[in-house]
Amino acid sequence: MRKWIIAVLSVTLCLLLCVGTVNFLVDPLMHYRILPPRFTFVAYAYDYINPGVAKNADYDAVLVGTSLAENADMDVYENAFGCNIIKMIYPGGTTRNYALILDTVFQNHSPDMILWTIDEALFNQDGSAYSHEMPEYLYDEKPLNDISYLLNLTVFYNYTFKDTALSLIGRSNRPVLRGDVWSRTQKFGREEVMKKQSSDLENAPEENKSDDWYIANVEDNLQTHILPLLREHPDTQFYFFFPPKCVTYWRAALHDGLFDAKFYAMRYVIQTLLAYDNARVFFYADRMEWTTDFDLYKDNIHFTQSVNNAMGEAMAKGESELTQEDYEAALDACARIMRQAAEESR
Amino acid sequence: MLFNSYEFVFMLLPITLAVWYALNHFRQYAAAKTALVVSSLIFYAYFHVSYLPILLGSIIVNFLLGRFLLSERAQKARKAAAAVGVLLNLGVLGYFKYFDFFLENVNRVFRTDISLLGIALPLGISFFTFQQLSYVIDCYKQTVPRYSLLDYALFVCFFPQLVAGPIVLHSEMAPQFADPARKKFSPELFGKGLTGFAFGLAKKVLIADALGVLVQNGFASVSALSALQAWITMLAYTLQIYFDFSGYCDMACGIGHMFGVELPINFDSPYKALNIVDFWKRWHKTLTRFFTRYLYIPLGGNRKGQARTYLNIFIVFLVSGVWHGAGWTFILWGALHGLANIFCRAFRTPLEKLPKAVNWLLCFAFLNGTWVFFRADSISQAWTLLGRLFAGGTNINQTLVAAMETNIIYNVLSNLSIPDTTAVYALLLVTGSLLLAVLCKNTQQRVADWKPNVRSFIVVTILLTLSVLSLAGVSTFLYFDF
Repeated sequence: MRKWIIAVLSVTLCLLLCVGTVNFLVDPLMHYRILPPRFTFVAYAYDYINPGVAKNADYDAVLVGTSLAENADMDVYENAFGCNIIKMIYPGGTTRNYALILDTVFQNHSPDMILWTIDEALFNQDGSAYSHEMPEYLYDEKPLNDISYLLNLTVFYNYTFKDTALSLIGRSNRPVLRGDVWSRTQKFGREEVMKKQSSDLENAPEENKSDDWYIANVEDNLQTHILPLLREHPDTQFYFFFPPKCVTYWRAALHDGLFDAKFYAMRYVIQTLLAYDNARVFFYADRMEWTTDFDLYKDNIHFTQSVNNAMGEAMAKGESELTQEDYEAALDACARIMRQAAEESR
Repeated sequence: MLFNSYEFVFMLLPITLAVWYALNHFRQYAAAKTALVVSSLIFYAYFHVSYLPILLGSIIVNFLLGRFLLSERAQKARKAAAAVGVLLNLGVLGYFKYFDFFLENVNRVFRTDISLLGIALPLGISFFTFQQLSYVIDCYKQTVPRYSLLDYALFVCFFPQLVAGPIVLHSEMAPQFADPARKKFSPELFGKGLTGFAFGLAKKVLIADALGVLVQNGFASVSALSALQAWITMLAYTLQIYFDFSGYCDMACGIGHMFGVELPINFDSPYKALNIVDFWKRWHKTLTRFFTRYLYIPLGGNRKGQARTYLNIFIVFLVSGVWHGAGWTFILWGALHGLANIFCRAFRTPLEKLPKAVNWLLCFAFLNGTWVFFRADSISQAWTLLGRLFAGGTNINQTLVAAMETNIIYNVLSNLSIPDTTAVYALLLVTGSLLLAVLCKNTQQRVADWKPNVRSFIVVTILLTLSVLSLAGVSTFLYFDF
């Protein structure tokens, strides 16, 4: 009986050690080292690869954002800005998610630039918690916590074994750090956009909410997660850019009585950010050539790679940058044309 | 701390076992018990140190009360002291578990706006309160020997059963901790314990957690579920709660065995039951035992005529519903089980004439329906889900499809180009779990039949390895359109 117990415990420990060792050596989530370029990078597990990339990759700048930045072509951005840029995406993330990854970035590097896709909805939501359960063991500096990564069957099968094996036989996907993950699977166009409109639009419009509807959350997000980054890293240039949303988004905002509140929140954010010398704000939400072209959208807000790339190139040239003197007029004009376009799109 | 965590499996459990047997080997019995108590308190306080004073306070107060009830000078005041003891325990439980629920209903009925206190519920308070209630009542009946504070503390906070049962009696625990034969390392008991722990961990991590993904997704969007997904959600929860709770109890019993201690069995293949009366003799047996001994029998049991018997049964199940949670869904769940129990007793003869398969189906259908109330956030959500069972449609929502992305079995099915992979996976998981629950031996039967041979070595090693490797996964989510 003792032999049975010893055999079970020792063989179990050996098997666990084997899996842990293989996971450590292959390190598919790049927690310890960057993978060679020919290996696929894990797609759709950004929470898990971002910290490893932040720590171990070689870069001068970072592009962070929600899913709105997901399909940006980093070759285009790098050509435009003339430096190495990596992409750190948190689809559906809160400001707390971004603060976490940027803390990791700054702990390991001194980037010259942070390019940040600002979805105005990001500031309107509660930023006190992460958007979903995060693998904090990959973000902290506690080596003992790595056990959750090393003794992990899902990592072992899906990433260490499957993805690595696929890469070795030349069937890897283009690395998600750089490429377009939507073009093969997502459809764009009016039909797609209209399919995803809420059935609530058929009901009577809601009462207009007060301008400061979102302000408590906006202030909290700024004070807790964004402004400390600007203050603590004065040598890093932050590029905040507001992407274009389809007119259907603004139509829904009008219907829900939130149009004025959203523009008020944007105004507040921009005004606060422009007070910092290391913050630059770029505004593309008023680009009618994009916002009214349904072929560029797959839903109310997600646009094609061409739009993303165009914004990158425009930013590098300083186009559509806002200043303390002109941001109010720009927002007023945008609100006017978006309201009109939204009403015309009914 | 949880049994299914690295800290427990690699640190607390092996260290505590080593210290326990080492100190007992050198005949330092008091030190060994003290180490076990300290270890149990560390286990309890690991996530919330703030709960520790509540547990310690409860132990000390109940111990002193018990001592008073057993003393000579308490003769005239025994009844009052016992009443105080019962009220104090129930009062503490009531405050932490039910006070906000009480305020919510006051606000609803009287249209007031009293702020809720947001009272955090101390881990395991329902369990250790009931354990100590049984002790206090037995002290009143003077059927209890005088324990030392150390022995009493060990009975209450022995970590395998501290946070989720089984609800143990002092009379079944204290003698085991006092038995010198149990302080020696027993390879047979340890082997059985390791086996029970492996099966329990696998039930929790490999089966219950997998079912939990289906359940969570289903309940997150109840009103939009297709009939297929509604059925999957309902069945998955019925199975999840069984594998989760019984898995935990299997681990508890397994750990107990590793320490040379036998904990009472809490589950005996409850989904094999042919009626609700039979079900409650198999499900959470120690709770049934507690209620029978300390509520049903004092109310009169079945000694005061049929009508009174049925009333007593209904009261017991109503209280059971309240014990399970502070919400109308739990109360309704308890009431429904009470009514079903009465129905089964009242119509026992005609029901027994039905084929076993029909009885099983009726019982299982009832359990599924009532578990929906147990899990739902509200009674209306429960009705919505039950209504969706007949709504038609077979689509699976995108949230669940996205959640499957890193699931290994799902990926294997997907690579085989099986159409509607998510639905196939869900149906296989639910069907497989159901067959395990209904047709196979349960863990305690396997442990009882355990032999240290090659087959058991392979099974236990694989289960332990896969379970530990599944303690952490990779969670996926549907992108929000931000």
